[in-house]
Amino acid sequence: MKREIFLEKIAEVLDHDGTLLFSQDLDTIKEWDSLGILSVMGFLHELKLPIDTDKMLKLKKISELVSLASKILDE
Amino acid sequence: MTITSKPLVERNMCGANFKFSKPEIKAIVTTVGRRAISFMESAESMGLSEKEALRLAKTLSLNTRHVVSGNQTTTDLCFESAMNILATLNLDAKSVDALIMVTQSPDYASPSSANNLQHRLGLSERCMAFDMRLGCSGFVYGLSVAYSLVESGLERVLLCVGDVASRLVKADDHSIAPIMGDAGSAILIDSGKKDSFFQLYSDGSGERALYIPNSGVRYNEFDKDLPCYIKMDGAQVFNFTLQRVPSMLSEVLTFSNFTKDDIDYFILHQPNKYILNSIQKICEIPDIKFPKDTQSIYGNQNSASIPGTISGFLSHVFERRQIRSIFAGFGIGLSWGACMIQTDKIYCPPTVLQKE
Repeated sequence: MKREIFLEKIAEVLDHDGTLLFSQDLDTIKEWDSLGILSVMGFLHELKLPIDTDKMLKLKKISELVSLASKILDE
Repeated sequence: MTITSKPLVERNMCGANFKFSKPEIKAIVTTVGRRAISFMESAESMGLSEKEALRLAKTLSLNTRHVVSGNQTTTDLCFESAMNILATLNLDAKSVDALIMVTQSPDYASPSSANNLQHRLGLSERCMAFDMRLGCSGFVYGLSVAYSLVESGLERVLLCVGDVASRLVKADDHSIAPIMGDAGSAILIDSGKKDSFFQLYSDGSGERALYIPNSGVRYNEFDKDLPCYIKMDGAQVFNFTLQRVPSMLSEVLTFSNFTKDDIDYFILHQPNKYILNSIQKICEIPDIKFPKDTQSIYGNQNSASIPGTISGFLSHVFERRQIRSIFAGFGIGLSWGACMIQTDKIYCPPTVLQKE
C-alpha cells in the first residue's frame, strides 16, 4: 500500500475532513481522541498489523503512526 | 458423531478443550429492564455535547438500552425468566437437579444468589445451587459447567445468567454508562443426545483492564479514593478482543471439525456494534450469520448478551428448526471462551420486558 493511500484510509476511519500530512502532530487532529484511537486500532487489526496499546496511546505524530504500518507500505 | 474414548478435557496450546455428547439446550428466556433509555436524550446529563453524542452514536451505534427500575436486581430478572420456562413447559420444579447463577451483581457478596433463586423457584433441597462470578465470558463458561454436570449424569440443569450492569457504572460516566443494559436469562439444559465443543481461556495479566476497584477485600494504594464502579481501559479491552476473539473462532471451528459454511449463526457477546463489525471483517463472516444489534437496542447485557441476542433477534428461527451455532464470550478477567452447539426447536420466546 502507498503511504498516501494509507493516510487517506486513516482520515476516513477517523471521520476527518481534509488531508493528513506525514509531518503533522496528532494533537492537531480533533478526532484523535479515545474513540478515534480505537477506530485506527481496528483498522490496523484489519491490516493484520501487531498493535502495542501503550505505544498507540503515546503516539505524537502521523509519521510515528505510519511507521507502525511500515511492514505493509511500499518503499 | 460419537464421543471418543479420549479424556473429556484436553489441555494443549489451544486452551482447555471440552467435548460433550449428551447435554441439549431446551429453552432460553431473557427478561430485560422495563425502562428504555434513549442515548441521545440522556447524553446531556452525562456531560456530552450534541456533537460528541452524535459522533458516539454513529460510531458505536448507540440507540437505546433497557434498565431496571427501583430496587430490582439480577435475581429478579432471572426469576422471571426461569418461572416463564417452568410454567410454559409445565415442568415440575423438583425435576431441576442443579441451578447455576452467573453474575457480577449478586444480591449479596455472600451467600450465593443461586440459593435465593433455588428457594424462590420452589426447587428441591436436593438441587445443587451455586454462583459463578464472571462477566461477558460468563454464559459460555456457565454453559460449559452446566453441560459437564449433565454429561456426568444429572438430568436437568437450570443456568441463570445476567447483570444489573446499570448499577455497576456511575450514571454520568459517559465512557461506560451509555452502553450498559440490565438483563437476566434462564437456560434449561436437559440430558439428550447432541455433540458440543467448548474452548475456554483466561489471562489474569489483564485483571485491571476492566475491573471494579474497592469491590472486594483487596486494598490497593492505586485504588485509593476510586469509586466502586466499573473502570475500563477501552484501548486495552478493544486490542485484547481483536487479538483473541477471531483466532478463538477459528480454533473452535477446527476443534469441532466444522467450517464457517456449516454454521448457521455466530452469536458473540455484544459489547457494541463497532467491535462486532471489526471482528466480523477480520473473520469474513456474512451479515446474515452474525447478529450484532443487541447492544444498540438493549444495552450491553454482559453474561446475558448471547442468550439475549437469541431472544431479541433469533427466537423465531431457534423455535422453528435445528440450528448449529458458535457462541463466543469475552471480556472482564480477562476471560474468553467459545463453543459449538446444536439446538433443535427449543422454547425461545422473544425478549420479555420485566413485569411492573
